[in-house]
Amino acid sequence: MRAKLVTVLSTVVFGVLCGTTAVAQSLDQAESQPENWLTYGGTYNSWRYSPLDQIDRSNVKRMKVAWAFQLGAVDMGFQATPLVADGVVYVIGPKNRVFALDGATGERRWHYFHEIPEGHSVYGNQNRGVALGHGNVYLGTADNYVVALDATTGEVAWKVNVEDSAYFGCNITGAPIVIKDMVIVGSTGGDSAHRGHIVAFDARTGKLRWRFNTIPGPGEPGNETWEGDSWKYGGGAAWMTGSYDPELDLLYWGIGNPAADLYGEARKGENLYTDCIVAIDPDTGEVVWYFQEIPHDLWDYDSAYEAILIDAVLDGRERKLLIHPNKGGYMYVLDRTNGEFLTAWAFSDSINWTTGLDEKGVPQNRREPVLNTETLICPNAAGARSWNQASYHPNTGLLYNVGIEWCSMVIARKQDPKMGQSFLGGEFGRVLPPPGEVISSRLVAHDPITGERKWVRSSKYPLLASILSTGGNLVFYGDPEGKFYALDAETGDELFRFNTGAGHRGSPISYAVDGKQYVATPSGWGSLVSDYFPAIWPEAAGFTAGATLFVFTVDEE
Amino acid sequence: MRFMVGVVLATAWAGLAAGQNSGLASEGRALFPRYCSIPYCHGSEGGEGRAPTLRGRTRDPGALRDIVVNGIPDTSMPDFGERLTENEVDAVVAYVLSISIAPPPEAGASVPSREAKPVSVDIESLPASLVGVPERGATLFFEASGERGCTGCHHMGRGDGVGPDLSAAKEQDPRALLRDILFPDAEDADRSAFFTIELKDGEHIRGIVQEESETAVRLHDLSTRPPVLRRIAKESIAKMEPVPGSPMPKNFGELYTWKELLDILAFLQGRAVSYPELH
Repeated sequence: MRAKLVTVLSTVVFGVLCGTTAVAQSLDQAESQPENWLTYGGTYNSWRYSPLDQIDRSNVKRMKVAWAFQLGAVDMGFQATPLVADGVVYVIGPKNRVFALDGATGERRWHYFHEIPEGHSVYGNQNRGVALGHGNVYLGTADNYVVALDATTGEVAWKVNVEDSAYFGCNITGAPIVIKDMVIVGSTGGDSAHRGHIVAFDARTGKLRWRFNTIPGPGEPGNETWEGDSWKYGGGAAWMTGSYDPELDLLYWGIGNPAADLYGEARKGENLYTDCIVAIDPDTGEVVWYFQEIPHDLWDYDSAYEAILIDAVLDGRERKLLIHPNKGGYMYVLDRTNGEFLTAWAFSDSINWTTGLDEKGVPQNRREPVLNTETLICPNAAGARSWNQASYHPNTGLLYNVGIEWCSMVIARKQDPKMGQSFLGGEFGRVLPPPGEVISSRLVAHDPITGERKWVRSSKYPLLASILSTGGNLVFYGDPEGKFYALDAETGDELFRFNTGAGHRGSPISYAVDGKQYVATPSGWGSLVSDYFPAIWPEAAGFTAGATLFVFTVDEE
Repeated sequence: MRFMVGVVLATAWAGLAAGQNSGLASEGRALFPRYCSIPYCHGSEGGEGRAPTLRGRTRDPGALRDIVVNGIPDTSMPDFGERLTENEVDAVVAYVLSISIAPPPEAGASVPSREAKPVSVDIESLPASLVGVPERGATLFFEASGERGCTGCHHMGRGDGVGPDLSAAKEQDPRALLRDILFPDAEDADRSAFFTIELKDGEHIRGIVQEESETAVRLHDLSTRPPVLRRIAKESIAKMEPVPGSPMPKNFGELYTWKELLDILAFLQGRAVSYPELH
């Protein structure tokens, strides 16, 4: 059985602090280390794919829990992606609790609990993951610090306050990413009167290297796309994690919606770089190119989700692509060398905010929220998919992505900004099904370029957890009731299910220790979007919170 | 190598800041007529003279000391480095600081109350240029680019900052606050944890040591913005020296206009603050 494990390549070490461990290595080599899961998206290309193939379609039915670990705080759900380096699992739970666990046994190596002062977690106590590199574990916190922990001891190596959380109305819930000798992270604040940013710190010392303001200031190109001083309060939160192409040396980051979310009269213009994919020079923080998916967004349709980097033949030509889902229901396909719009396809069936995109990707015939009047908008602001990420499988060539059909009655209201305060500019209103239908959700295996659906697996409740695919030709995911599934990646047939006892809101991964493959999944219901559920399905009020990491394996027969 | 964390510095510099040793300022006052308020130069007690008026101006103590010792080339300001002893220079500097804006207490004078005193000023009747506004002050307080801004070191209502939590500033006399902003060395606080450190890899750090163990020091690195709380292994340190005075920047008098200072005071006090209150 061990022979089937993908060969572990001898690794190239660029580490500066602990030269022999994966935590210290350049992450450019992550793809040659299938035993590890070193960055938020698995590798810099954000595929959420593990090449490990020991657990496959023939034996997954024998998968059993190897160990479980309870994180002890449950508010806002267990939303993280665990990371693994050299047999150690690094995981963060609600309330910024970080644990280093033995990957084979779950035994605790160390823990770090970041203290969050009362009233400083403006966007909640959830956290979506840590980053590894240079001998450290990095986290962003609910009170807007970036903290580096010594990966061996858990001791604080450095800690820096990005900016005052209470005054600016933002914090960090997304996972940082380590690029070269920097740790880079964005923040929340897209629904506050706030100006978004991405910041890069020296990974070793914590010194600020650069700050990219997602909204250009006076004198900078793009500031003219904001009326008056609306740029000061225009949102543009970079609240998820970017992807990186080491060859092109470009960092790709999705930028969130403009604020006020639903009221745009005071911010006339395209509102750059909100709702954009930006390609950033990681050495300077400067924009190399951008593509705006929704100019002057009025629906809270963030472009903050993952950028999936794949190479494929398009119109007979080998292209370097960037595949990007937007809350509004379209999957954008861009040339990642220059940001050229190539195509887009809908992963939602009930889009009504536009009649479609033109040949340049610009939405046509927009149905916009109306001042003081209800308008049915589909999908709603929770998105045709939540932030939880898709998975791309290089062998099947398929993109496993969730779709949700739901709408809401939106009302725009005039609102003046007050720094750091909530700045929605209206009401998101009642959650409703698309006209004549019921609210529904599904996991779909798509052709990533055309969107063609190879198989569809429906779900009663909207799926709010990320997808994992593996070299064993399996797709793993969890549902809001707590069940964790393994499917055949080619057919969608269910091969395994296990009840973890609390709904899934995080991201499963796979790793190996001493030649043995494991699959790990967070289990723990909660979050703003899951709070929608009881109004739609009364029984969902009984979907209980939790924060448990389940780790599965298949023992030899 | 020995680490002197927690040991109060015993150098001549320790007494530099005016107010920290008001006796020093008195010595300076005695020296002033002999060296400074001579004809054509600074007037009696630093008032009007042919040379620039010293009274009521904002001064950076370090720059002031430099001027006294080295003079200002190509001007009438001579160098006193050869003429005055180290202690006499410190005394003159302390005196000049004591006659600057929001003067620290003279010897024997009563210490100004730290509590806000009601001042009978009709703010409504004052021109806007003389009134600080909390909202504008908040913007200035939380400014985080370039040299300006208080955030990063100071918090409101949180104790884990580099400098003091300023939520209690509401209760303080605005004159004392202004003095602390412009002359951080004026307050007699414990400065013993402020160090410069040279690492073996060549990095230079200015920082406030928070704690020290057998193997490491934990410090707020002030040589970068925002400041970083760092753990520095002792084995990586080449040199570590205490720094006299406050770690707070001493150039806020140059970085802000009067109006902006009023706005910052207004934010700290949580109310409009007018220029007349500062006298």
